[in-house]
Amino acid sequence: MWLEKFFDIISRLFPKDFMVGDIAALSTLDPSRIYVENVRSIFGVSDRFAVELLETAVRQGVLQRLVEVACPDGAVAASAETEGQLPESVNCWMDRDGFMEPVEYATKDLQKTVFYRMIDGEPARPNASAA
Amino acid sequence: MAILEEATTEELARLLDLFPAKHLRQVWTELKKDKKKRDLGQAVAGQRPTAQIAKFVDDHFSCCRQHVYIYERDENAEDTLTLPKKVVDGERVGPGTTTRGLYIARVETQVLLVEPTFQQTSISFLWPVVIETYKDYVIVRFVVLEKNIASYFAGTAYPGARGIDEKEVLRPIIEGLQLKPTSIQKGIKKLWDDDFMDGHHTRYKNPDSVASLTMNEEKGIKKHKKKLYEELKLVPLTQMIFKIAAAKKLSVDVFSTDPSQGTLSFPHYSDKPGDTDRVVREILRHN
Repeated sequence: MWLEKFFDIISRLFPKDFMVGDIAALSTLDPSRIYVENVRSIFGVSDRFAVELLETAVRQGVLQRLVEVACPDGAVAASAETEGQLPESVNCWMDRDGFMEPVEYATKDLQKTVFYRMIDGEPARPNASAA
Repeated sequence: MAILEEATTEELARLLDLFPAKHLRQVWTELKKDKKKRDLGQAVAGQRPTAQIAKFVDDHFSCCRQHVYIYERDENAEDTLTLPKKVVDGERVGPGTTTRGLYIARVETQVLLVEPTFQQTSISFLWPVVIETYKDYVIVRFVVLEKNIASYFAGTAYPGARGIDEKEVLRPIIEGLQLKPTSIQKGIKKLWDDDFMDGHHTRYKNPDSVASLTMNEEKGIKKHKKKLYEELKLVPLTQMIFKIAAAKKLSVDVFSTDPSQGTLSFPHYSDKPGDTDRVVREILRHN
């Protein structure tokens, strides 16, 4: 359902012949965590264009934007609706002399990544400023 | 028990620092609640109750952060196993039993002080080690020593070379008792299958590669990646991090392991004495 709404947004907003993306590929995405790169690579567009698509979906109430914080090894330690809502510190697992041990890191020192998630149920009322 | 009787008050205090403050207060009830943990250890050590300290260490060893090594006897090993009288730079303390012995070793770490004056010095720790037998296994456990050496100095300090490490302590034990590392793959996989715990990080061997996976936000592999879990049941696991199910009502919540080498790590303190012992026994019971 979210997929159809998302694709509907894409085809309404942008010329159909420009979009050579594969709906089958889009359907393999996990709707609970969609990265910009997932959409960029499916449609073969620029990063900025992919962000615009996703942000439009956010304004249309189809997707929610969230942010995750990753440990130095890339493992996601926590996620939240905004960076401010992330915990101040997280535990990351490191190999110390052959044993995996938790090490505390300040969230402010770790990499953050935006991702998107399907909103359950009916989409919110579309933003009046959307095209 | 000469190692405790001859230890400095500071060494005894640093030994007690390895244990949760809660347990220090439970045993030495006269200690004030408002004392900081370092001050608790100092207060007890000042009285020098060495026999009581030895008993406290023995009774509460399982509550500490630990590294655990599990061995089996070599095929050529003698039938009877006698626990050693001492370990490298240490000795057996307390009566113990024929199947369990507590040892205390002394570890000296070099330290470079930068402030207030530039000088080379050292700091020594009393290091608890337990050797025990269980069924066909010999288990050697080490309390994980304080890593923040600098916290023991007022100025800026950098730790240098350490006197002895786990490998150096293990070598003569392995040779003397004729041991070899054992696989705990079976025990680990049985407990995982029984939902005693779920893993959120794995490293495992494929025929032509080594693969690893870390779940986001420590989600369980068995719960969220069933297909991978079924594959992992059949391959050698070389690194796992597990969260113990809350339903088990244990005070130990997480452990890591290399099941191929029989090693475990408990990185957090646990409230109830015996809970980490129980995890080890459960693994070996099903192994």
